[in-house]
Amino acid sequence: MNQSTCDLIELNHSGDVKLSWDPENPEDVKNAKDHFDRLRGQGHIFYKLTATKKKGEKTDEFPEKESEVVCEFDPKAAEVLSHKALSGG
Amino acid sequence: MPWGTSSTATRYNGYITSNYITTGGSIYDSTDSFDSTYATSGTAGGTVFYNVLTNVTNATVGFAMGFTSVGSYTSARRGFAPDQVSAIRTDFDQVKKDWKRKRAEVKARRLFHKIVGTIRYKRFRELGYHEIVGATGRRYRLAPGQWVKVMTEDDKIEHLLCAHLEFGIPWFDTMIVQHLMITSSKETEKQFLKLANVHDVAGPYPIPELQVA
Repeated sequence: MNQSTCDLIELNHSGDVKLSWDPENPEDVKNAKDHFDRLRGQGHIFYKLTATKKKGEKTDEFPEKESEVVCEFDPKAAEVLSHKALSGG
Repeated sequence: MPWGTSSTATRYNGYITSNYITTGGSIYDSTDSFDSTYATSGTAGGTVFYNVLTNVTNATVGFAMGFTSVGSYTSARRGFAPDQVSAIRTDFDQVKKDWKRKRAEVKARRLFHKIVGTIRYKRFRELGYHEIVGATGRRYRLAPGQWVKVMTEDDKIEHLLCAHLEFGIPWFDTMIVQHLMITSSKETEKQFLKLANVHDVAGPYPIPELQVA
């Protein structure tokens, strides 16, 4: 994973679509924020994902990620996942 | 709170009050509470309501999200509506036959692996389900395209929960969202429990009266 870019992952019919931005680039950050606000207007919910390395995990394995709900765009969040609301079935 | 704005509406001459939470213009959550006098109001609908509530213990009625009781009636649960069964069958057919959908499921499964981590993903592959402990301490088992199983301490299924993304979105994406909602915080887990429809392990039948030998 490229440490210098941040990702907004949107779950959709194709699986997922990723928007990446450079937190040091103001134009990138603005585009990402506009996209975030647009998704929020459509009712999306956002989770900030943080990788946590646990004992026993090898370096070539994916670490488990912790998550927290976020309401505002954070330009320095490494990974944010968005989805539309679940519905009861 | 990220869930949206609350509003209230009444239906059936005020006998049923619906509390909605909307976000982005869509209804995210709704709870119906009913005035029990509707059942004895003498109206045609009230009479049907009365018959259902007095003859069936765990009534399965066609309200949007289930409803809570006013008076002496207990909570009812929603069953499977025929149009929903048809929608699920169509969706499963797509998973089997449509190459774009198959590709999307593979992509979603890879994302699921990245989020839950390799150790848990390998465990999921071995067992066929993804077991998680919610922020409140309850244990759940998730599997793609299946209801969420709420587990008891002695490893039995207590009941089933159904909450999913829009049909057509990969089932592994739904699993990701279920995982995130249940494990992120107590608030998100409670929100999940609130919006998910509850189903008995054995379905709405048999009724307890017929289980007595």
